[in-house]
Amino acid sequence: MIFNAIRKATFEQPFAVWGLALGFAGPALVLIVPPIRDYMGFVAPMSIPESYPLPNRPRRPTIGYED
Amino acid sequence: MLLSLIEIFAVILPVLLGIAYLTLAERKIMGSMQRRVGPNHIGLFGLLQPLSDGIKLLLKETIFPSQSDKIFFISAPLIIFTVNLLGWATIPFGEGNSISDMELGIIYLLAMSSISVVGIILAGWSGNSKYSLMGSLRTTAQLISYELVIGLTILTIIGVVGSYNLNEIILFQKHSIIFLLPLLPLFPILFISALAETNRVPFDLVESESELVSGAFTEYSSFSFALIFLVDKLEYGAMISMCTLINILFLGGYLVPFSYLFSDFLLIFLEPLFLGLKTCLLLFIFIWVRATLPRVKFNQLINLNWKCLLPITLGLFMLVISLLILIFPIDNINIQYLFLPFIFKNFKINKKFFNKFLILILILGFLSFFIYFIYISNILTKNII
Repeated sequence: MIFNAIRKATFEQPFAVWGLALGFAGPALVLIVPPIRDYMGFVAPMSIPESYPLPNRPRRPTIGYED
Repeated sequence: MLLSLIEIFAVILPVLLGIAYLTLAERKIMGSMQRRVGPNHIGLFGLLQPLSDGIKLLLKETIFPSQSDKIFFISAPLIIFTVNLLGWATIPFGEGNSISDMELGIIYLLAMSSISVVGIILAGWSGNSKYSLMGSLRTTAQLISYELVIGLTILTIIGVVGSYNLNEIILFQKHSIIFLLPLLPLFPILFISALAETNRVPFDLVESESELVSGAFTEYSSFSFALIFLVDKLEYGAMISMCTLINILFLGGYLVPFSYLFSDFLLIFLEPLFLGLKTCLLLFIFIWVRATLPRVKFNQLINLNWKCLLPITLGLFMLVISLLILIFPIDNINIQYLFLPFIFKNFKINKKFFNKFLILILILGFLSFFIYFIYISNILTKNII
C-alpha cells in the first residue's frame, strides 16, 4: 500500500520524492552509521587541541624582571 | 582617503568596462554561433561598438511619462546602479586583495542583490504605466523565488566552510579541493538559478525583447535607460557579479592551479587574471545558453523553482550537513557557526548533546520547510498562474 503510494508519487512528483529521499538519507546515516562503526572497532580520533597543554606543577617563582 | 578612492576606482572602472565589452562579446559570440559576422564596422573588429552604443543612448532625449513620480522615476535606476556596484566591495581579487574583507561578506552580497529588487519595483511603479508595473511584479516574483535556491546553496557551502567571509571560502578550497567536485549536484542548481536571477534566456520573461519591450523599464529612455542597461538586475552587471560569485563558491575564485610553481610577486598579478578567466568561462556558458535555448513559459519558470530545484536543494542541504556531523562528530564547529554565528564563538556547550539536538532540529525544520514549499508551490501553480 505505502510502497504503491510512493511509487505513484515518484511518477507524479519525482523531485519532491527525491528531495525527501535525499533529505532523510542524511539523518538516517547519522543514526545508523555510528553503531556499525563502533561494532567494527573504530575508535574516534582525539579532538584537535585548541590550546597549549599547561604543565601540571606549581608555578615557578619569578626572579627579577621576569614575567 | 585618496588611496581608498583609487582602490574603489581600480575595481569599479574595470567592472564597468567589462560590462560594456560583455555586450560586444555576447553579440560576437552569438553571431558566430548563428553563422553571422556580428558587429564589425565601428573600430577594429567592432571594438568601439559599446562606446558608440553608449554615446547614442546618452544623446537621446530623456522623456518623463505624464503623471509619473519624477523623484522615484529618476532615483530607481540610480538605486539599481549603486546597489549593484556596491556588491563588488567584498569580492576578493587576490589573497587579502579586496576593497573590504568583511566577516559577513556573503550575507552582504545577498543583501545587496535583494535590495535592487526595490529599485525594480520603484522603476515599474513610478512610470505610471500598467505595463511597466506588471513587468516589475513579474520580475519581483521571479527574483524572490530564485533567491531562495541561491540562498540555500550558499548556506550549504557556509556549513562546509564555517565562515561567511568570501576570502576564507576560497582559502578553504585552496587547502582542500574546489567545491565543484564534492558538491557537484549543487553547481548546476546554482547555475540555473543564476540564469533566472539575472533574467537571462531561457528565463528572460520579464524582459522578453520581442514582446514586452524591457518589462519594468518600458518607460525609460536615454541616460536612465543606459544606467539600467549597464548594471541592472536584468542583464550584464548582474551577470558578471553572479558569475564571479559562482566562481568563488565552486571554482576557487582567484586560485591559480599549480601556484607553487610561481613566485609570490608573480601571483599578485596572476590571481586577479585567473579570477577573470574563470568568470569569463562562466559568462561564455551564459551566452552559449542564450544562443541555444528557447524561452520557457512563466508557469514553467515558477514550477521549475518551487517544484524541482527547491526540494532537491533542501534535500542536498540536509544530506551535506548530516554528512558533516557524521564525519566530524566532535569538532563540527562549522555547522554550529552556520546556525548561530555569533553565539557559538563565545559559548562552550556539550557538543555530543548538541549533535543529537541539531539532527532533531534539522529533521523538523526540513520537514516543515518541505511541506510549506510544496503547499506554496501548489497554491502558486493552481490558483495564481
